[in-house]
Amino acid sequence: MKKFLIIKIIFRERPWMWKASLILMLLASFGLRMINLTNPPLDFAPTRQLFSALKARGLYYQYVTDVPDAKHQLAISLGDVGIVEPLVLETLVSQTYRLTGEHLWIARVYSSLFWVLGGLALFLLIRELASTSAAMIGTLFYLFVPFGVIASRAFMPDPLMVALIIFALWALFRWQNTSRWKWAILFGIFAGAALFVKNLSVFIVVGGFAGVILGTRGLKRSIRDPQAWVMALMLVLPAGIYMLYGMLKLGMTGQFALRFFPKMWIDPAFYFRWAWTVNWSIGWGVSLLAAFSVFLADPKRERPLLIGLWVGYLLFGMTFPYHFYTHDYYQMPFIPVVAVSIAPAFRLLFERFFVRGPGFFPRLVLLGVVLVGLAVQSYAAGRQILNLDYRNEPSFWSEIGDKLGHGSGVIGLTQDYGYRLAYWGWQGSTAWFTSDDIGLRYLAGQDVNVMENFTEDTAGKRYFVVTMFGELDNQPVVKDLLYTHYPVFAQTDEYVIFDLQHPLSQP
Amino acid sequence: MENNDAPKLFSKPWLIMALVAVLFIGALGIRLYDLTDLPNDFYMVRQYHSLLVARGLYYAHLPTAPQWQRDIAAAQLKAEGLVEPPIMESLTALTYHLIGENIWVGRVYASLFWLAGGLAIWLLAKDLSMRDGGIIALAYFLFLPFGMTASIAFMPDSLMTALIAWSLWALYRWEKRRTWKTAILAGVLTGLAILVKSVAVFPLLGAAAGLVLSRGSLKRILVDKQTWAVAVITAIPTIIFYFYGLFIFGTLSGQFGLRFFPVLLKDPSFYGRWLFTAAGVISFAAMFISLTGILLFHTSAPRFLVIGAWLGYIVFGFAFPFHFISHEYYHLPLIPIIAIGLIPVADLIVRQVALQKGWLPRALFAGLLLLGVSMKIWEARNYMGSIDYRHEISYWQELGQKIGYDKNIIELSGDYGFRLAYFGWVSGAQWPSNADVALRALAGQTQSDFATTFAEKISGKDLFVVISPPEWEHQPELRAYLTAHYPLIDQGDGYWIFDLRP
Repeated sequence: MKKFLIIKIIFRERPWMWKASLILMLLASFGLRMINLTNPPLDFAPTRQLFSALKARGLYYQYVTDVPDAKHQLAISLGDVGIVEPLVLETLVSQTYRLTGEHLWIARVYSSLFWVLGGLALFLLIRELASTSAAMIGTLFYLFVPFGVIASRAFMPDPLMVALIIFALWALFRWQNTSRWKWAILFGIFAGAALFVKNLSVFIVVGGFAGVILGTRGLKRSIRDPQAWVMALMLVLPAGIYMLYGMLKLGMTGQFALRFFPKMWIDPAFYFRWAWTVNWSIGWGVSLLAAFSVFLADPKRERPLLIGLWVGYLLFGMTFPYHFYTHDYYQMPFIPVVAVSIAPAFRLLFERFFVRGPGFFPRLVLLGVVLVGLAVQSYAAGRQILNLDYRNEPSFWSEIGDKLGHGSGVIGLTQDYGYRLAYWGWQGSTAWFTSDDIGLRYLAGQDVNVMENFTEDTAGKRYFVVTMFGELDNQPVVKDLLYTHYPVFAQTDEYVIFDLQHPLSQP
Repeated sequence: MENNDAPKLFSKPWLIMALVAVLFIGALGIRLYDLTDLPNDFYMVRQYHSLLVARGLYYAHLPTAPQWQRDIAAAQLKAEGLVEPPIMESLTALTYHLIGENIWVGRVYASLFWLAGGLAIWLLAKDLSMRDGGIIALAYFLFLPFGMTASIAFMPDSLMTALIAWSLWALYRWEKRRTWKTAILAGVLTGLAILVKSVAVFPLLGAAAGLVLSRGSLKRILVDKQTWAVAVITAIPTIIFYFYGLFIFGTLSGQFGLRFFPVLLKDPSFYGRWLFTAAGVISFAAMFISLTGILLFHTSAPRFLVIGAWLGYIVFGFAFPFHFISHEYYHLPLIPIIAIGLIPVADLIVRQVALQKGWLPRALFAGLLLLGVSMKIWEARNYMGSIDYRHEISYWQELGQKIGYDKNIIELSGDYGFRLAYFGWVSGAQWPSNADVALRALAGQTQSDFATTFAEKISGKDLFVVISPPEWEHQPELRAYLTAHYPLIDQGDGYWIFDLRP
């Protein structure tokens, strides 16, 4: 019976079997992401997640009428933390809050759902590009690589962006193979949406598109092809309009500052750090296999798309060299690139394996290897999720917020640029520089005069709150200024608040 | 058999040899980086054991050294006892006679042995007619992060791992050629590997059994003279060594204590910890690719060889469950096994690259390989460069002088007193650390009450020297007792000296 199950069903690509396996994979990976759901979202890129959380709460409170007016106004003003991308996920979450009440885990559910749905598109893409068996492996990698599991639960636009990138690539590959309007339009919709949700998707999406246009369809033919023009137009239109609107009306130009550091290109350490980031987030072994595997793809049908994706990824890294190794979530779009790229290698492996008509035992071993690999990845991801518990954070920040009085005039050296204090403490604050911020400004050729900045930034402020004591130690001038010239208003082992209104002496 | 007319990655043999040479040069270079630092970051107890043995052997034939140093070196050598045959230590001691005592000599030998093991992986790939795939397997063997760390350690494991690789090569070669010459070579290399460190018996016995069984007929196996010859040649060196160690030298039996913990086998978490410890050494990706590779060998001989080696490794884990989850280097024999499993997968991929027209795909392949290798070298270099233990030498030397070389001491240390013994020339009895107590409890041994243990341990001792602040912190009973009953005659950065004399 077992033999029958394994040989006749699992390894003969019966449609219902792979469909059932796919559904199981998607459900299991979604379930994995639901572990420790209610843990505050500080396990991955906390600054970015809290930024979205504050935004969503601000949007939600516009509709909340049964709270005191002061709280209503405070929520809206704390949500005014600037604009980075269109508030797609934040709007969705805030509208859900209206039905369920404010729960941070709702964003986790959405992000996880988007990522898992991306797995569906990825499976369909790889199946068309290589084979069903290779699609299984590629999709398993995408769904269960521990970094992806952790990152895809985050309250930030990236999981949705990655999912839309994959849908766009699937439509693009279908269009390449069919030349039908339906797929051209779908590519336009998905690619345009991906760029709209987060414009950094441009590198991978345009890379893939350029690969297909230049490598498969041909530039001359494409220039005369109305489908290609419509695709390109739909690709750029939503994000283009939003950017224009943002720059002219919303003052979004600030987000482009401190991002581009071309001088890092000539520093070999940059490339090693990049590779190191890839290593710990995705895995150097699988990334190298993916790169080798591009050689195994069909030169006309498959390779142009893959080369386009890799070139897009490399350009992405060259454009944001600093962020590429300081912000690990910049590697998220690379996960589907690797997942698609390993497909030709796995197709070859499976072909070589099956061509020799292996018996029951080798098939069982192969199945065992895949299942153990899956179990190990899931365990590693689950353990990481469970090992972190931030449930004590809200009460901590709430206590500080109460001490500070939820009013204005606060500057602080606190975690995540004051976002924790803002979200759980309901206390807005101006963020004092961290040593990394100072380093970044030096890297950009700017000068930071600590004394001058301190005088400017504390002018008119009531309190200076410190919760990052390591950071304060890194800034001895500021530490000395605070402890020498200002009385301590409140302190515990975990925080100290200085009273700036009643200095002991003039600094 | 693989088709030798199949396209090669590089048509000119010198190109592939150049690539292999670059890998070996890079592998040696990174292993010699930060050469003169102390071996404190990787199982230092085991490394200082070898250093003391090598120094003891060296000073035994060094009439120019002061008599007190010769006496202490000899006493320390005797106290270290016999764990494995002191092959590396003897080689190092001989080298000391040529260039003087340098702490890095053992590291250089360990590195060279590991590189020699890489050569065996490469030769095996060639014998499998999978030369191109062998490049990837070789790169894996030479630049695996744990391998880079472990292979510079002054302990027999580097030589053992290399000899396992050579033995697997020789066994396969014997199976392929079935000549007396190859049979004797297989026996000699397998015997040597087991002699260097007896735990090599597990993967090698498994591999040899797998290889022999791949022939199919049990009757044919049993009447095969070469098989018997290989078995006898393999066994002789180890039998002689154990006879010497158990019945003549007499201290070898001690090394079998506190090793077998069957209670762990019933604990499901043990298997998870085993898997993750092994993966930490060899990497999950390599493990799964290598396991898949077993299915892709073209003939049954290499397949059974590797399956047998894997089974041997698993039996090894059942025999030493505690060490398998606490001592990462117990997984070192798995590295050549994984590397060999990588060969067919890598060969399959590299041959597809070789099918591409033009030089660009080949150049990109070589570039990617070298990028991967460079990254691993850079990581290892950063790790090695980030720590420096050289300042410890003067600390232990000064402490040794303060204690006095003639004192009879007992120590509470975190390293069994090895650094004090090596740099400070002061050895002593050991007060059990928390880890020792826990290990004995795991083995089901009961401990006497504190007062009895203390009285037994300090009997005849002059001083109680504490050189581990964490242990001092975590042993409140000892701390209270010593402080209350004995004068603290000296105290400094990280040490406390109590006078036990009446």
